Amino acid sequence: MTVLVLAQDFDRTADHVVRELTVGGVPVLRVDLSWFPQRLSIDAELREGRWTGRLCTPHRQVALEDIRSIWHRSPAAFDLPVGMSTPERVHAHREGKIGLGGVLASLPVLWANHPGRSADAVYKPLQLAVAAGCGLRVPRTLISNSTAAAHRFADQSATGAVIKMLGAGTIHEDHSRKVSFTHRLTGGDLDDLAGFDVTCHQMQDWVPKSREARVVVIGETLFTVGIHAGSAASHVDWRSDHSAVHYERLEPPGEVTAGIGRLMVRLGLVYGALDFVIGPDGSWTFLEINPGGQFGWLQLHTGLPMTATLAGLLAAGATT
Amino acid sequence: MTAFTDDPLAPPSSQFPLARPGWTAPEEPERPSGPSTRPFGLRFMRTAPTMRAPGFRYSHALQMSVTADRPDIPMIDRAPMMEWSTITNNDGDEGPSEDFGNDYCPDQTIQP
Repeated sequence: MTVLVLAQDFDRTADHVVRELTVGGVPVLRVDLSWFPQRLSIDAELREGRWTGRLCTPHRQVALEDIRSIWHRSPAAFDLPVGMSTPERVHAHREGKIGLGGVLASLPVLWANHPGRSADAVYKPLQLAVAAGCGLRVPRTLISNSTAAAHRFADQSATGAVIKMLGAGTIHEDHSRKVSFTHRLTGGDLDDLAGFDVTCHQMQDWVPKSREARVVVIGETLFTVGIHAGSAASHVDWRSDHSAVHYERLEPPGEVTAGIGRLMVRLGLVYGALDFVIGPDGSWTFLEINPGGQFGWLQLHTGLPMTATLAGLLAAGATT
Repeated sequence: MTAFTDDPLAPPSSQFPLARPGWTAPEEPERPSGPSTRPFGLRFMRTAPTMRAPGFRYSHALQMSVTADRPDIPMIDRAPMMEWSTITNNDGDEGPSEDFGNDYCPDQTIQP
């Protein structure tokens, strides 16, 4: 039985997991979906209610019924043949995505994570509501394009308000790449909310923090790393100044661990990277879960065996 | 049938996320619009360097990336400390990169 790894060609985290599996004698097929259709083919027939057949590359192949688990690790979009017209590319991409993606998504195997569940979990308003329902403390949050609502929310905040992106914090414009981090709103910001009304914005109460924590969930195993800020910027958002943070192993409180377990079940995820603020009073406040979050750099800093644990999860597999 | 790109809430395309191919960054010349139309949240963006992958090749034998000049040397052995700390955290909205692979779910290919 084979572990199918869907990852791009240059992905060092995937390299480590593939090596771990290979050394352990576990058959692996690693493919990037950009190989489709020119270097990856699918031959699938529906027989007795399940898809059977093969995925083939010029170098390797696997029977669909021989797959024990699938790691969906950010594969790239299809690379279609040069020369197709734009309508033809749109058509080919759509058919490929529903066809290849649909066959894979239907396989009754362990997914880390199933792409549909990951896609659902990307919605942060959903995450927050589910997390609260699972007993985790969450920040007071506003999603709105109303300036009146923004003023109301900020006025009612005892600790000040922050603004943070709901989706990816990156845009490309004006020949450059721009990134965003959590920003503490000032009076000057709130005096001029031009552009607030053109789309949704997420505002939250600033959560007083002694430090932050990243919890990496791999199956039933939780790895928790405390993140200590060493600069003003990293205190607001540690992603903004990695050079100023340091890490330590932590154990979350039991009620947080239990809440995380419920959250993973509710979201249908077996892998996730969760961010928490740890308050001066020791309380843990859930910020978000990233179903495709990174773990490698935390393993590097703490020595926690995340790669081996993920490889073990994939090797064990499961039918669903 | 509604086109996928026309569905504002749950485009079927998002149900099988596909990432931007290998370290590519779109060359987007368009400049920011005016203050009344530019989303408020974009005020706080910072310009960041474009990430570039080092020279490598993909080894189908090893199923890993290898150095461009030595197909028997995995990249993770050539520069083990590079990993995760400089350029490779590309699929989380945390870590040294802020890109989130699931966010890029094209209904159209990005090929020219």
